[in-house]
Amino acid sequence: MSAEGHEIAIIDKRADAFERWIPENFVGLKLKGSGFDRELLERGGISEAHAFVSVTNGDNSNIVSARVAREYFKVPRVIARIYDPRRADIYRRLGIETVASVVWAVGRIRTLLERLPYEEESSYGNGEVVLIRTELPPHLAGRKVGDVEVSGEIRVVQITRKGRAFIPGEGSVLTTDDNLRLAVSADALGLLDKLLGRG
Amino acid sequence: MTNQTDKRRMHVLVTGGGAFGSYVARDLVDKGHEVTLLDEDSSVIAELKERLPNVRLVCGDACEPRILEEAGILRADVVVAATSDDEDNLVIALLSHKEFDVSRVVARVNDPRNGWLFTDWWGVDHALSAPDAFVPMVEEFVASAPQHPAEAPPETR
Repeated sequence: MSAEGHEIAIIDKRADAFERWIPENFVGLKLKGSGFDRELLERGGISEAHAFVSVTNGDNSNIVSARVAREYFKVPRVIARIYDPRRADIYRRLGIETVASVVWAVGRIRTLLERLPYEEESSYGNGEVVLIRTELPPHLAGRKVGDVEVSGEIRVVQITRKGRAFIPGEGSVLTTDDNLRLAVSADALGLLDKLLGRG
Repeated sequence: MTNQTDKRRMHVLVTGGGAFGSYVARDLVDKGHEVTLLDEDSSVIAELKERLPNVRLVCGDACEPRILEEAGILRADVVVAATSDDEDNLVIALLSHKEFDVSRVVARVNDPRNGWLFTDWWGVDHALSAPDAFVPMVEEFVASAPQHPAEAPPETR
């Protein structure tokens, strides 16, 4: 995010973390200490921060600093990582958005494992958009192309039917044995699973 | 036991079985209170079994609501958050107060820099900060100590 021009301040308990993980061209503030040290947070500019992200490896320190950021310093967006999904409930009640990294990773691994039926033909950029080839699942026969499309996320770019290829319109009706090529945003692969009945 | 002592017998839940927590638990039991001590380290619990025969010992993570319930937090009059991690003590205090309506929560401050968090904002009724308690005593001791002869003004030499 720093490379994209955002202004970043990082707090870490271990000074060696900066040397190991932070690239040399990082221009933001590097502060050594605890994520709920008031003085340190103020030096990092928390009072003017648009967002606060708490991703230490301790669930409780993330809870404490996220709540401090949100309630004491009134930071508009506060996001915290949790390992133990049982704690997600507590965060939610405190009004803090969470990323449950273990749950997320397990979900992603499952998605990748279960996505064998697709043929990923090519990917664009850094993989943000992929081109996928799949047979039409039977339950979608008779539906319109528009029904499987999601604006900005999933597009049917080409259909091969009985050996002939064409570019469909939104109103084109899908038929059994259609072979589809879909351009899909990487973020929407889970959604595609659901649409194709594999979720 | 007389009726009066019965009335004042409190159920206290202590979280953290280190030197501080176990000392508090023993003292409260000796004073006639009902004490449950919670620690997540099974070897700590095993060791305390011998040292604190009259304390009810529970093994588990005190930052997890389910474990607090198992330890009887719903019956507790007082919770003492006594672990050696300030963030854990804050989460325990917050849960005790907000989720379980415990009327009195005492929490240990390990690092005085975190002392500002230990207020009713985090469900803490009373903060115990050893450094903050000791510093005035040390200051007083320093002020009243005799000065080294080499540093004293010449006329008093």
